[in-house]
Amino acid sequence: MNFAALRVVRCMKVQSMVAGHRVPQVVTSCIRQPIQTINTSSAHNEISSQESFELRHQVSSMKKNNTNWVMYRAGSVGLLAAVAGCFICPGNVIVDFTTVTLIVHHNYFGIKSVLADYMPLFFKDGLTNIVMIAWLIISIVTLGLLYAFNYNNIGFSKAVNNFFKL
Amino acid sequence: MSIITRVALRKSYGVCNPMNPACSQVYNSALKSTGSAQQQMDEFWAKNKETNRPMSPHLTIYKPQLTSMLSITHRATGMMLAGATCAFAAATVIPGAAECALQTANYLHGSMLGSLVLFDIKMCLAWPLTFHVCNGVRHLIWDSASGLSLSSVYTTGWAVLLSSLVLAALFTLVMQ
Repeated sequence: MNFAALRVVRCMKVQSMVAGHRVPQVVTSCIRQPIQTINTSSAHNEISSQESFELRHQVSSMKKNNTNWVMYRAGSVGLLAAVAGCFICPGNVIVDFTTVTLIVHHNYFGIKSVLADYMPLFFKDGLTNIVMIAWLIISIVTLGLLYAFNYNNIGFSKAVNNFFKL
Repeated sequence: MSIITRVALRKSYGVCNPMNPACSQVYNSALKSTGSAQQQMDEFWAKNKETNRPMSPHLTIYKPQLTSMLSITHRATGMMLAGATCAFAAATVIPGAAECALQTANYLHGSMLGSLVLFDIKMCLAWPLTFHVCNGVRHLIWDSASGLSLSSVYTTGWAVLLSSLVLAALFTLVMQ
């Protein structure tokens, strides 16, 4: 048995509409799609070596490519708990530092996605990259300043409580 | 090509269609039968982008609906809150910011109208937070793949709007 010839076979159902005749004909064709191809004969082969069966959004939602998305959602759930803790037990050191860290984490990725959505529509890619880096620097500075506030001053949760009690 | 395909297309010899070689001029720029599905789609987008065709009106003509309005408000409140935390962090290093805020609050507390202004100022900071939190919970519910039908989206949407107002008023009035 030739093991080299064994490949993953995927079957696709192709529905073709014949022009002029409105009856759809269902055609089943079995297309051999190897998961990974090594482009050995590039002379007449137009398919690039990065060809994959899955579409881009399917690839990005596979488990190993998905960790960023999961981490962001985990951070959001943690932030809910932290903000609740801010009002339930103000002045707690752990609550202060978790709230501040999770807030900056959430803000950073949130604004990053806003920039990624809107900047390329109006500005060149170079400017978009500069603004992304600037936002990273601002985020880090914000985190540092809030940590200093937590350490030296009354703390984030107490400050928020005092603001509402004004 | 399988027999089924040939039988299906047998009647199309006289008709102008992709399989008819006589009409290849019309169709040869439309069909890309090589490459993966993603590559074919990318080529379609790239080709259309090159032609610089005008875009149909979208934001100017689409009727504002609860779904879209809540979504853009979620984004807007998120941006406001991010700006507010950066401003708060910056204010910690500006000397005299806390005293200034305290002075303004004491000044406003004196009069009835001032109390209302203070209430409005506090609501202006509380409502974006509560709205973003409530709508964030709605997003997390969607991420668990539930509540995605149109009726649920509208029900949860109204629930988020009402609860955000109620919670904001609660925070502003109860905290003494």
